[in-house]
Amino acid sequence: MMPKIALGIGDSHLGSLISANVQAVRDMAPLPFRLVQLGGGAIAYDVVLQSERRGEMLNPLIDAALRDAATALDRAESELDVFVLLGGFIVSRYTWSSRGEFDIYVDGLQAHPSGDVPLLPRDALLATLAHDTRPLMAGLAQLQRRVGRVRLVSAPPPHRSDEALRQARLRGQRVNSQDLTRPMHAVVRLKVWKLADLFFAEACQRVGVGYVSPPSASVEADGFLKGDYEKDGFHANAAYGRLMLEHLEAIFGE
Amino acid sequence: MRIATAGSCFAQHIARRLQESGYKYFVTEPGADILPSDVARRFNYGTFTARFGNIYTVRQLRQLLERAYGRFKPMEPFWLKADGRVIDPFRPQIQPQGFASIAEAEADRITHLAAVRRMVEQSDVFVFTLGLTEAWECTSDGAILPICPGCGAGIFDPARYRFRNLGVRETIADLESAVELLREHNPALRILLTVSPVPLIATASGDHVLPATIYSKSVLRAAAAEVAAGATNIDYFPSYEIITSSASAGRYFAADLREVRPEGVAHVMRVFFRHYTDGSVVPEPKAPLQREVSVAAPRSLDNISQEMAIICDEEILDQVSST
Repeated sequence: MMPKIALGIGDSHLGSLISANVQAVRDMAPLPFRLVQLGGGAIAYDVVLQSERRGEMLNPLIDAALRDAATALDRAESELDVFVLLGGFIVSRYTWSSRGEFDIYVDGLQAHPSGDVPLLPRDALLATLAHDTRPLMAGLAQLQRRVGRVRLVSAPPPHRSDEALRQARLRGQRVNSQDLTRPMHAVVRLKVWKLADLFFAEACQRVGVGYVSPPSASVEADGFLKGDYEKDGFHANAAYGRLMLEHLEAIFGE
Repeated sequence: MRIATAGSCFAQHIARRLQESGYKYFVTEPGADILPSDVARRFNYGTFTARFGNIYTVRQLRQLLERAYGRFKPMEPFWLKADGRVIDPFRPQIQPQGFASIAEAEADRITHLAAVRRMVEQSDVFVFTLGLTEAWECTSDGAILPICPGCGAGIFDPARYRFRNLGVRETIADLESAVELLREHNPALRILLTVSPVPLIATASGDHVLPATIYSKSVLRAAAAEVAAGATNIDYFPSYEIITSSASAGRYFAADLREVRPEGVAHVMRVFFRHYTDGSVVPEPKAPLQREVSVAAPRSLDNISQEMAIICDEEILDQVSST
């Protein structure tokens, strides 16, 4: 079997599947690809994203992953698929790191129920995403030039439950200045995710990289992650991983 | 001590030096704290105390305060660009490329006016830089716009907009109304008035721009003095005089004789800190300013503009006239 490669950037859901849902992975062995897992949630959340220089700090991590990929590519005898797995940090970063709530206007989506939450113009969020993912997108473009079959795999959408998030944070491994008991409202988490999804789809198109959205079976009609696929408020569960693996395997087979 | 600023483009110099000096520059509309600093700057968060953009005339200030407290609801609708983006006519340069939709622009205006109210109610000192007397007014209800519609944004329609050159009595009345509204919500607020030394880039008065500038600055200077003289906790600070007086021999103006050079700003702020602060924080000018003082070779205007990075709506007039 040709080695297929997946790079897990940060706390990717497939990475989560590997590390946190080992049993589920064993059930599905053998994996149809080599997994090069880059860091974990802790690195993504605390090191990469908590810094004003967070965009720059992603560089060495991506570089390291690319080196790993290059090593594997050098051993390969024919064309490879490379899947870069996007972590859920994209949403958690913007909805947990903000000390104050904000709302975003997205046509057709519900407004924050509290009327006095400051608005963040969507362009400002998109500019922030562009700032923070510049190294990631540059890495993807570089990889695409070399491999030609690169796909960025979306993070799962957020689940609507605040309680799961609250509990997860209270159990959390790290405590800092953030208020652990008041997650950003679910409607805002969903809007951030949707805009991030839109951003990545467009950014990938610009550099010729494919973009893999979540399997439609995992998403409610209103865009939230279905309860069947939610693990702890932050992460999708093994069932989601299984669903996504099937999705990716179908793409492998294309 | 929370110091808020508003006014014409020269007010941005004051704001920036306050931020650099370690004083508490009061920003009531900082944007979400997830924004990286360069993105925040690009979207004008922190450039002004609230995201109101430049406030050139005293009437514009008065109307902004009235809008914030629901006493004035202008009839002027948002402006639609050809690409569907939406411009707030009362702060046309605040959102790069405009807002995504009217609904977003409306929501952002609500956020903005709440920030203006926080500025009024929570500031200790309010520094207002009076910039112009010339303005464009909506014929429907007298709402003042910061730029002429059609210059950079909007479409000019003589039936909807008219030119106004506010006189000294009107300016005094507007300033007194603004002060009254500020004091109504914050009786202890100290107010510092200053007049921008930046001359007009163009005039719609029909006069030559030189007498138009002298008229405008004279009106503003007289109005500021009149209001400050009769009130407690209101003072006048001579930015205009420091930059334009014969004692400075014109050396504080850049080669276009309009833009204020960094050393001019440094002089103004030196005097400001000496007379209006307790000296507990020693302002450190940025390195480029120190270098500028010791380097005799003149720099290009572009370099100065980039270094100062001041948003000036009036410069749109120059761009329009040169196209």
